[in-house]
Amino acid sequence: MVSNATESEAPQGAELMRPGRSGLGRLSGNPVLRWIQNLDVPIVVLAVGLAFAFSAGNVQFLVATMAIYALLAMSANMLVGWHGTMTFGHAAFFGVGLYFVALMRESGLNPFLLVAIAGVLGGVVGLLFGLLTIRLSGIGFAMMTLVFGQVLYLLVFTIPALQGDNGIPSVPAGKLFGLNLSLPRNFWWYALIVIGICFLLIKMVYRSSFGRTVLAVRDDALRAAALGVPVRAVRIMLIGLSGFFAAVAGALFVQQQSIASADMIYWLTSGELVLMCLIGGTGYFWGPVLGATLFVWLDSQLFKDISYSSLFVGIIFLAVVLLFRGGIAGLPHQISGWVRRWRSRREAKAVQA
Amino acid sequence: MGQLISAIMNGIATGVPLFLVSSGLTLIYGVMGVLNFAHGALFMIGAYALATLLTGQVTNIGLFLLCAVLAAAVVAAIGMAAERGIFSWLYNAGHMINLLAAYALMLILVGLSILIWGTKIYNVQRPTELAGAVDLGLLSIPVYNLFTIGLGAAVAVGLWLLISKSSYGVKIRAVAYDRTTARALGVRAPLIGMGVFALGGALAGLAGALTAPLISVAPGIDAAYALQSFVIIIIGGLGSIWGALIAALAVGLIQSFLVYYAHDWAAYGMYILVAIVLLFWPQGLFSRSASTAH
Repeated sequence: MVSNATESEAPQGAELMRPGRSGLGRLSGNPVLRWIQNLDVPIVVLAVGLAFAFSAGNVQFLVATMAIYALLAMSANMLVGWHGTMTFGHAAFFGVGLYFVALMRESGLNPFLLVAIAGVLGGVVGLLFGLLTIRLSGIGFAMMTLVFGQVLYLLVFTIPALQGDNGIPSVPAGKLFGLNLSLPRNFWWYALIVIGICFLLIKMVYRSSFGRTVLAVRDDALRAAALGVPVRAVRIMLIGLSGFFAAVAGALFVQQQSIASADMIYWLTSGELVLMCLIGGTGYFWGPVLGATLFVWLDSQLFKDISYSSLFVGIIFLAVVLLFRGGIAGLPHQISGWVRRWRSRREAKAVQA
Repeated sequence: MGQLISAIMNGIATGVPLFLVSSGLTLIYGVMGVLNFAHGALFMIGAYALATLLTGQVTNIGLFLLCAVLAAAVVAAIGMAAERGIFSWLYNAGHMINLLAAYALMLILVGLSILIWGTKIYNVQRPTELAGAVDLGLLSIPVYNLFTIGLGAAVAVGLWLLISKSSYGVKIRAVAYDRTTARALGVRAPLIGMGVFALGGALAGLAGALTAPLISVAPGIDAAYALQSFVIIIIGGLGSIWGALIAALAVGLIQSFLVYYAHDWAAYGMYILVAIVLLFWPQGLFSRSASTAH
């Protein structure tokens, strides 16, 4: 029943995700304790920042790329993991940030400001897309994201200023407090601050009542609607937020790589984002970060000289889909489940003997 | 006038391979609930297989058809193997898991075909009998287009006979409608699953073989054709073969008309079409909630 499948799809999609650990019930009353739960973000960001503070420039460049992809994957996971909808057009929001900063290459504006404006633009595009797709859900929605992403991809070829496959080269990273951001060392801290702020914001959204509402819609859209949740408005808001962070990642990416080109927003890039989320674990806050880190490492280091690398990526992904649906972040949970089952089986045998 | 007829003929000839690819895609979705992301890769393998079999030679029409059928058979075998190896484990896992497994299969097949055929471009020659064009005074129509249209019509009739008239078709529809009940009544669902994947694969492989002389066979054609066939089955309604037929012809025609009359917008044609359709009919034009989709 196609007509009903759309409504019943949310719980099916949610099968992918583990509900996520929540000590929330106990701690949610006290505002100080509630804030402490957000501290993992600054701690992780600071630790990573210091760990690579004195590394060689090319290492810092690579890790910064990973961090940018981590932010992008996290923004995609707001839809994939939090809401249980697949998106195959997320690279379009990334592209908004990418091309906005590329077009503003001669403006000389503060890089922070550029990133913020790019984010707002991405958010607006996200809201518009959410409004356009208000009646769709499930696979229909997933396919519409594909269509949307491809239309933006085609625009890059149609609008002469965006220069199609050639891309917009030599975009400057800009200067901040007199520091040249095109040096990996300076860019490292700049990117880390922007990404850290974004992660903190995402975490706050995740733990807000809005975030809880999104999870409720994912788990049972019908019941949420019956309880008075404006299900469609929630999704539009979420796409807007997700578009904001994706565009921020795009802006950072072009500042780092100094080129914006069409292949970065092809639908296969969007697919890769979904892969990152799933390989990392969609049901865990840090899952997409793990997935993006692994993916960028595989892609740029391990498989860099292998033209048929998608074979290996495909096998890894298939293993995740068939065997490890919690992804990397879900492995401890899954392994402890195996151990528990193995133990109870052994005890059952011992009792029989 | 001549230009108009040319545009129409071209549009139909473009639509036929699209119909072949998307009918398999929509059949697999309707019966098995798998949105097969790997379908474009199957199409590409069909084209590569034909290029390998013909080894760049110009052949006569009989040998060409034989090689095309062989290519389709290879792809059908891949489809069947994928059903046994991957999707038969995921029947109860839901649409999204199946979709992701298909995405993984796509990556694997694309990687394998780069491993086997590399990244160079293969060109396939049309068979000698089909190389020319029919001159009608006002316009001339390439013979290969007529051949494509004829073959497409034959496949459409064959599919209709298979699905609507044969006992195997009744079983396919039974599984599509209600898998559990069909099994309880003695339909061997695994056989149906393998058959549907083989049929879908064969159609995609045949489409690839049929398109190979018209394009440069190289990595990337999989993504392009997967995208078009997704758009088509959305327009036609997921699970509806006849919806796929109408939508494929519509997409072929709109692209052809735009190429003739508004060249800059040709690539947008199908996206505009799908956006309009989805705004007014979110389930597609021929959503068959009761007969083929489940």
